[in-house]
Amino acid sequence: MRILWCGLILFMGLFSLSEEGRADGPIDIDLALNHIDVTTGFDGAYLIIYGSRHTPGDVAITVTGPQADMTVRKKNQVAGVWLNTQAVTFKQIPRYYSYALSHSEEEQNNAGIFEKYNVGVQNLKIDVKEEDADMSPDFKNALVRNKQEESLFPLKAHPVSFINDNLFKVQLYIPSNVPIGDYTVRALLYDGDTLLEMDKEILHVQQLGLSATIYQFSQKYSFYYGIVCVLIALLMGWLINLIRNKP
Amino acid sequence: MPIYLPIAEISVPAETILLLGIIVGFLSGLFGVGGGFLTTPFLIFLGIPPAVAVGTQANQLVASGMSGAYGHLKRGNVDLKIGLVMLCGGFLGSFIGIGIFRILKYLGQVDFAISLLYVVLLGGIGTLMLTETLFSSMKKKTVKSEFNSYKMSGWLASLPYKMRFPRSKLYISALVPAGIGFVGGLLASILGIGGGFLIVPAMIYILGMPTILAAGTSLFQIIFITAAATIMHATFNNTVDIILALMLITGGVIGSQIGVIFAKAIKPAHARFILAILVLAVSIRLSLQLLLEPVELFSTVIWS
Repeated sequence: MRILWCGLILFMGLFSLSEEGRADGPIDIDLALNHIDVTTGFDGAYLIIYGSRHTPGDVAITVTGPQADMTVRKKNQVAGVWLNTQAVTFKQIPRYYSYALSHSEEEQNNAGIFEKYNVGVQNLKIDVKEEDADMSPDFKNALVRNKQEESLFPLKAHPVSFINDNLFKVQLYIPSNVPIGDYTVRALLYDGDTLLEMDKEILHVQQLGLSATIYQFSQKYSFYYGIVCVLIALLMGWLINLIRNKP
Repeated sequence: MPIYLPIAEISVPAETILLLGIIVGFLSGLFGVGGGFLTTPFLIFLGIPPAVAVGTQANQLVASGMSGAYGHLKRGNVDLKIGLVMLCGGFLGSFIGIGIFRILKYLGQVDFAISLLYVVLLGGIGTLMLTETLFSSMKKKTVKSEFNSYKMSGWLASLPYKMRFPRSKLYISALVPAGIGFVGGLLASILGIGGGFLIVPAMIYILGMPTILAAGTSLFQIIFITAAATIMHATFNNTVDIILALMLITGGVIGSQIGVIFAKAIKPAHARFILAILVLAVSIRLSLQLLLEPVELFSTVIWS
């Protein structure tokens, strides 16, 4: 149904049959697929977001993954050996984050909205306990750097590409180490520092098939999962013996 | 071909993992070692979280222990009584080891502890093996005579709970084999290795067991120790990836078949020499990691 909608918007937009398009609002987005299936052969995927705007303005898209507490540790040399000595814990940081802009970041003059709606890595809310406040900038930068290294945070804004004046498309790469969970895809339509409209979609990243069965079993019945792992290994060991003693 | 590991939550090239399994299997076929000391560092190097590497490695060792012990059991090379006493210590050791692992994980020192333990253990064993192989021609006679007239020395002999182990012809305190088992259990749960390279010499030199019985009995108890470590890692840490384990086991089968063929063509002294160099190389590589300034000083952990 979603895909149909998407096609419909595309159709209407391309041929400009109606100036108003849908009555929903000044900006609408939809996902080419509202779920990413992590199967045994999964090696990353593209997330394609389609959208249309019905009033002039700039477009920003953010994709925010499930959140978790994260600890950033710093190695220091102690008695000649490098080991983790300092740590700062950040509360509820998205495990995946990416964003796209219709204009390059330098041309923007909208610090207010970007900060409010977490557009851009530097605008993510990365809060820290008071006692860590003085050393937090280094650790905050390191957190972003570590996540960028894993391709879970973007190095820079992705482009929002316009098909015509109203219709746009965004393509983001989702790496294979993407965390499982619900992702929020948000679209902002703004003019300078004024927000005109917002739209939101949910993306489900889920394990599917054998991979999902194993994951869920290991989470729900972890003790029995351990026993099954041992039994499989014992069986394999026994089979290896059969093979070895054959010739 | 990429394959997604459901517990590690990462996609890895299946060929690489299989190749790693083959290399480790080859070494175990050639030298008769488990090869866990190679797998864990390599898995970590491939980007698999250290905790998953250790938990999965323990699972893989259940299979290789089983395949190794089976033949020994059939040929009667297992001293069941000593094996069971070692297991008592071993279970306690792996239970405490899992606890230590959890604390280290919480403190952010898992990588450091694993590397340091490896450097110390592999460096020590490698040096011993190297000196032994280099001077083996001179030492041969004295080593043999030491064996037969073996007496447990000093305070070890005076420990209580003496037991008779008819199969190995020993009358020693049960605390000594239990203690060796305890160390094996610790290693299995902290490092994900069977610890055969440490346990077997300890059984020969400290307990005074015949070599062939020591090897068989060590493999026998490794099955249970690694099984216990696997179940505990799965239950408390959720870090056993069965897909990864199966790939390592499969690669291991192929590799060990090749290794056994090569083993026939190579002189045992040469094999030991190569193994000693390999063990030292891994130890040096890991110690450089500890000593050289890392490119990235910061690392991030996610708490689920």
